[in-house]
Parts: sequence; structure tokens; C-alpha cells
Amino acid sequence: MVVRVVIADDHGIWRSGLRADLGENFAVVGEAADAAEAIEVIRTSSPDLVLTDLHMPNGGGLAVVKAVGEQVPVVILTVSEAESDLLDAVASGALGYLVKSTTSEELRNHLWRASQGEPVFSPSLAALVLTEFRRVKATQQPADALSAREREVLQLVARGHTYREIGEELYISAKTVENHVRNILKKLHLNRKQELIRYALEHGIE
Amino acid sequence: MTVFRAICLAWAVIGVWSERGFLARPWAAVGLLTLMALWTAAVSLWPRWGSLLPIDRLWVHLTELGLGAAVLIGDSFVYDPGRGISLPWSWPAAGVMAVGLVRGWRAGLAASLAMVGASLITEFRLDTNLADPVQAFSRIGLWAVTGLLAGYVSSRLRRAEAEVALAHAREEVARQLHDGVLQTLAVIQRRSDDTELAALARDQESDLRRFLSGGRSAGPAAAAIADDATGAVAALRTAMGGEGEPVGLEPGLRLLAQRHERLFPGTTVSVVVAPDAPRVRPDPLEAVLGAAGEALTNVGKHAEADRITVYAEPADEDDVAEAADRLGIEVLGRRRPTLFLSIKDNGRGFDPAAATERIGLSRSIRGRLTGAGGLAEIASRPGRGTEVRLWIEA
Repeated sequence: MVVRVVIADDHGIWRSGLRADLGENFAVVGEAADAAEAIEVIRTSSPDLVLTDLHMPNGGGLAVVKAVGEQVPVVILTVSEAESDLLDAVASGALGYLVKSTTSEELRNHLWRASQGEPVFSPSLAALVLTEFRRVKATQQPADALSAREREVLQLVARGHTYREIGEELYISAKTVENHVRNILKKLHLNRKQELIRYALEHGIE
Repeated sequence: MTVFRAICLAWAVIGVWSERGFLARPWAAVGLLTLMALWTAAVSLWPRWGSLLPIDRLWVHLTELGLGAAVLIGDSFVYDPGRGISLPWSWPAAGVMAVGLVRGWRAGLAASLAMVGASLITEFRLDTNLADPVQAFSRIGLWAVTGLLAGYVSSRLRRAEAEVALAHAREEVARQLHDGVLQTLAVIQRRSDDTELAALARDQESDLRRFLSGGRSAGPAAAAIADDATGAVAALRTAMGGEGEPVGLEPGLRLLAQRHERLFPGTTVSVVVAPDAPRVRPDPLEAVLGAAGEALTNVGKHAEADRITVYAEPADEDDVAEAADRLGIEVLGRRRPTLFLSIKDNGRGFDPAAATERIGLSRSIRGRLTGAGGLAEIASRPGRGTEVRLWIEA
């Protein structure tokens, strides 16, 4: 099976490099240089997977995730880590993100798994999410706190363990680990939403 | 200021009213109060309408000061000589403060002195407190402080504003630069068939990331530690500029990672520091970086790994308790670890029960940590890589 991909990035040279890198298991069915164009291309070509840069004209990766994140898996490709907009992108439905310096082989590997709906959870993303949950827990009543097991899983991801290693460590299947990760994403989404609502109420925004 | 003027005016009216029986010339008092009221109303409209009038702001200030002085001098016409001055003084202070705020402390001081002069004329005419130098001085002092303080506050505010603006600009530049340059470096690494060029790009990327994470540009330091693990920590300290002050862990870890990637080509070291990881004092920093450097070197020598993750976060109390339990160590209440650091590879791993070659490593890493009041644990299984875990009071 060939995975049909749409690539969104405002740099042509990056898109062509990426296309060459993806190899024969992936077919690039559309390209876009900004968020509006990407959303349009995704709607017409209905790909299996979307790869988008975080910073692009007209809203960037966040806008793409918000528009199509529920219909198709979106993976953010970025050069910058530890940014709140990255967390926002993941909280609003991106499957995860990869750093642009990821090697070609790893990139193919991660993207293949993402196309199967598996979250692409790099250690740095896990670290960001853990920090976010600690912050929420310290400052307010979270809508949904992490269970002890979920925190454990997330921390192991941050420490660089693979899902298989985590499963062995915790005596659960890799599939169960994946489910934990998906639940963590759901909770993150809920907490961010709650926070937005609270912010809006406190600042009198209708 | 508008509110201040209004309050002073109200105070003056009340003062005059309560003393109405003693006024020598009530009409003069009413005249002065009317003048003050008119001016108070007029300048309250200034922010909205002032820009429409062909008047320079300087004239507004001078007029206000003139009026203030007139009120002070006019005071002496309201009362008979020998009678204490009671038409309140605070209203002219508004003018002095306005001048100080807008034109700085020197102008504020000059305005104060003008008011002091005006009030001296009144004192002289009424022939009241001249005999009392203490009161005269305190009055002069009060005026001077009013003008100076207003000027000082405004100059501080203005400087703070400028600093904030500068910081924002710098951040924006860093952000733009960051994205553009990192993007280019990533493209080079991906597209170049020239392995040396790709390696250079990778190095530059690490340098830039380390710089952005708060480390100083450390070209020479990085070169110096390339082959000397023990000298590394000293070089790191200088590179990070942390002499005695707690510093962020990330620049040091990135430097170690970079050194490792140079020494063992084909290995990728990702450094992940949680944004809320604590800053570290020099002693624990030395222990932690030393141990991390040793763990990395060991991976390079034995593990056959191509990916290493170095991860730091605030230590979790339960995790610390469990680890201490596993290690058979009691954690004393006053030295509670606050930082957790792990170094994990994807290499061949080993069987802890059978491996003798790792005993030296574990003893040396543990020695560094326990010497600084921390905990160290090494976990591994054949085929599943090795993980070194460290906890220490940052």
C-alpha cells in the first residue's frame, strides 16, 4: 500500500527534498506553500497523511490542523522545538511533530506509523506535554489530570524509550501503550480547551 | 494628574470655607479659587483637545507654573500680615509634578525652586514664619522633592519602556533568524551528498541551538573539550558563564551531545530539557555533567547505539522514593533531589547480573552523584539499550 501524502511548506527546496526522501512507499499527491492553499489541496485530493510546516504564511500549520485535523492525520515538521504554538498544534489535533533534522530513514518510519493513526510522539514533545500537565496541575483544577500510569508512559517516551520497550517495562502490550498516548492527547486537548474558556471568561470575551 | 488637581482644588475650597471668618479680602480668595478651577477644567481637556490647538505643550506647563506661583503669592493678599497661611499649597504642586514627569528631573527641580521663591515672597509679605528656619527649610525640601521625584519616576519608567521594547525586538530577530537559519541547515543536511558539508551543517545547528538555549557562543571551548572528558566540565562552566550562579542545564548538555556526535560519527544525541527543569548550582552541575559525559562515552565505547536521548525534568518525589528504595539508600529530608536526568541509548544493552565490565562505570557515576548528595541508577537489558538515571538537588 502506498501512502498518499500532501506536503505544505513555504520553501520549495524543502518540499522537493522531502519528496525525494519519502521513497516508494509514499506518493506525494499535492503540495502547498501556505495554509490556505494546503487546506484547499487537502480537500480536493483527500490524502492519507498531511505533512506541514509550523510557520507558514496565512496561519501556518496550526490553521491546517484546525481545518482538517479531524479528517486526516496531520504531522507537523518543524525546526523549532519547545514552543507553545507547537503544543497548541498538537492539542488541536495534530498527530505529533518531527524535527526537520530527523534522518530520512526515521522520517519514513515515523510517517508510515503516523499514516496508520499512531501518534508521533518524540521525546521533546513528551517533555512539553509533561510540563504542560505539571503547570496545569500547579495553577488550577485540571479538567482531566494524567493518571499515574499515563504519566509513567509519557515520561518513558520523553526518556527515549520505544513503545515496545515501554510495554515490556510496564508489562503491557505496545498497543496499550499507544492507547495511553492517545488518551494523553485527548486530555491535553480537553485541558487546553478548558483553559481557553476560562481565559475568555476571565477577560470578558463573549 | 487631572484627579490630583481636582482633589487639591477641593481641598483648597474647603480650607478657604472653614477659614472664611479670618479672610482679610474674601474677593481675592474667590478670585484665586476661580482661577484654579478654570485651569483645572481646562487642562483636564488637554489630552483630548490639546492636539487641535496651535499651542506648544511647553506653554501649557509654563502657564501652569505661573498660575501656581500667582496663587502662592496671591495668598498674601487674602490674609492680613501675621496670620498663618492657609489657602492650601498643594494645588501648585500639580504643575511642578507635571513638569518633572514630562521634562525630567532637572526641569522638575527648577520648577520647584520657582515655587519656593514664590512662597518666600508670600512669607515675607505676611511676615510669618521667617523666624523659623526649620519650617522654611522643610518647605523648600518638600518642594524640591516633589519636582525631583516626579522627574525620577518618569525617567525610570521611560528607561524600562525602552528596555522592554529592545528585548522584544531582539526576541523577534532571534526568532526570524532561528527559523531561517535552522531551516537552511536542515536542507543542507538533507540534500548534501558531501558528508563533510552535512557534518558541518549539523555542527552549526547544534551551536545555534545551544546559543539560543542560553549558552554563550563557545567555539573554542567546544574544540578544547573535543578529546578531553575531564576538562570538559571546566570548559563548560566558562562557556556558560555561570560562576557561582545557578544556570540552565541545556547549554552544557548540548555541548556534551555535540562533542559525542563528533567523536562517534553516525550517532545522534537528542537533548530534551523540560521547560520547567530547575537551574543548577555549580557543584551539582559539575557532578551531573561529569556523570552524563561519562555515560555518553561509555555508550560510544560499548553500546553500538546510533541514538541517544538525554532528558532532564524536575524530579518527581514518588520516583525519587522508589529509586532510593531500589538502591537501598535513605534520602534525607533536607537534601531532596529536585532534578532528574536520564541518558538512554538504543544499543545492545547488557545483563546487569552478568556484566562485570560495567561495574567500573557504575561505581564512577555513582561516586560523582553520591558525593554531591544525589542518586544514580543504571538499568539495562540485552537488546533493549541502557539507561543511566540521575537524581540530584539542583
